Formats: sequence, C-alpha cells, structure tokens
Amino acid sequence: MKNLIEKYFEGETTLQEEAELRSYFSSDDIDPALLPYQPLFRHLQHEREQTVSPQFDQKLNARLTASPKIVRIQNQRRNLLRIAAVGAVLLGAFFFLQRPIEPASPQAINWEKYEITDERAAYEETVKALKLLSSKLNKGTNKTVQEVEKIEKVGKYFN
Amino acid sequence: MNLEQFTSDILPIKNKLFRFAMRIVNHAAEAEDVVQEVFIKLWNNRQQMDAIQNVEAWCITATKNLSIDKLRSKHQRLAPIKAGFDLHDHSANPYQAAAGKNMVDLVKKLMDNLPEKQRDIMHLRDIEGLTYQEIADSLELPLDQVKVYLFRARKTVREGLTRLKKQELI
Repeated sequence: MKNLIEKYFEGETTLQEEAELRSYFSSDDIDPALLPYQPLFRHLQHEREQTVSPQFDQKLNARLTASPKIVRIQNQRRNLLRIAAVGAVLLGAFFFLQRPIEPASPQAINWEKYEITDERAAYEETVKALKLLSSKLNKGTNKTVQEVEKIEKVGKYFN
Repeated sequence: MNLEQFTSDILPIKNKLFRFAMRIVNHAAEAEDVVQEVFIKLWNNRQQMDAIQNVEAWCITATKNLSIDKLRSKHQRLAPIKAGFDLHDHSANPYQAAAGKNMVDLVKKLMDNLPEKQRDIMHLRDIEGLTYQEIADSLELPLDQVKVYLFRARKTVREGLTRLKKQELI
C-alpha cells in the first residue's frame, strides 16, 4: 500500500488503483505510518457521495417540457422578421424602378464661355483675388493681436 | 434526442456536474441552478448535439463556464469555506480537529486553496474518476499539462497534510 501511495503522489496510478486506495482508507485497519493520508482519501470518498437535492429531477423536467413552447415562439417571430425583410426589399425595388432613369454622364462644362479675354478685366480679377487673399491673411494677424492683448490684460494681475 | 434518451443518458451525470459546480460556486442551491441551466442549454441545442463527440465533456465545460459566470454576477468571493460548516476555530482548538469530520474538512480546505486549474483537475480525477483524456477534453487543455497540474496539486496537498501532521491537527 505504501508503494501505491508513492505512485499516487507521483501521478502514476490508474483509476483502478486510486479506487483501491480509497477503499483501503475507508476501512479502520490502516498501517499507522499511512494514517496522515487517511483524511485525504476519506475526503475524496465523502465528496463522491454528494448528490443534488431530491427535487432536482422534477424541477428540471418541468423546465424541459416547458421550453419547446418558447423555442416555437422565437421561431415564429423570426419568420415574421423574414417576411418583413422580403417586403422591404420588394418595396425598395419597386420605387427604384419607378424613378426615371437619368442620363448616365452629365454634359461637360464649357469653360471657354467664362474665359476672360479683355486685359483690363483680367487685371481687375487678379486684384480682386489678391485682395481676398490679403484680407484672409490679415484676419489671422488681427486675431493674434487680439489674443495677445487679452493675455497682456491678464498678465497684469500676475506681475 | 428525445426526453427518454435525455433522462437515461444525460441525467445520470447530474451529480458529477453538481459537485464540480459546487467546487466553484460553493453554494448548493446555486450549484444546482448551474446544472439545470447546463441541461436546458443542452436540451435546446439537442439537434446540434450529434456533432459533439463527448457530451459529458461538453457538459463539464459548460458547467465550469456557467459557474464562473454565476460567481461573477453575484460578485461573490471564492470562499473556500462551504456554507454550513464553520471552520474558523480549527487552529484554535486542535482537540476538536482530532474528530473525524474536521480532519476531512481540513483536507477540503487544502484542496479548495489550490490554484484553479490544479483544483479542477484534482477534482475531476480524484473525485469524479475521469481519465486524463476526458479531463483534457473537458477543460480544453493539452494532455501533458493535465498530468503536470495533477502532479503539482497532489504534491501541494501532500505537503499540506505533512504540515497538519506536524501541527498535530491530524
């Protein structure tokens, strides 16, 4: 038995040998040298005997026989969703086909119409463009000046 | 699978699953709830069950997962002490520990305090009598690791027993 114990702790016993150990330790005739191991095998044996409460089967049976209903309701709901999805696709297709078909590619814009040919007009256009640019640039500078002024105001309180 | 087959083939593993759930949730009523949920899940998916080779391993995996979910949802601490047993005064009173029942409780405590994987494996092997392959399938671990963890678990328990012996608690 001592060898079997060693084998057990080495993790080399078979299920059969482990059963032998449990049965050996459940008796009262144990080698005193092996007595420290008795609580372990008694515990293992004790745990093996734990069972569910007597109402378990009845409770489970009630739930198992009740469950198919729920499954069917879920299936019906799923079918309804399927029908609704098919309906939506058909409706979408109907409206899509109703729409007049537009020309595939819009006509190219004739930029030549807008071309400036007069020298004076071209100069004015350029000045206009540069003015716009400068006003945008000044906007940035003005904003910076405003912010710096604000900081100076606040800075007074720190000095 | 009809109800008759379910009752004859699947239902008998209820105690096995219950004990395994107990090891994790530490509460008899909740462990039973877990097993009920596992069986209902199995029953609702019975059409797909034919594809599963080892239904018992599937059940053990599901029991483990549901037990952990249960534990998390309740924000329960994994207390190593089983409800209904007061283990607090063991170390205070070695004489009381000498009584048979308490020695067994001390061992339970040793096992409960093992790291999760070691605890699960030792439980499935030494209490449920599963083969290494069955344990590997149930816990989704490689076979070698199962053996290593089992070896470590038993070693730790043995050291615990030696320590208790020195303290003359057993």
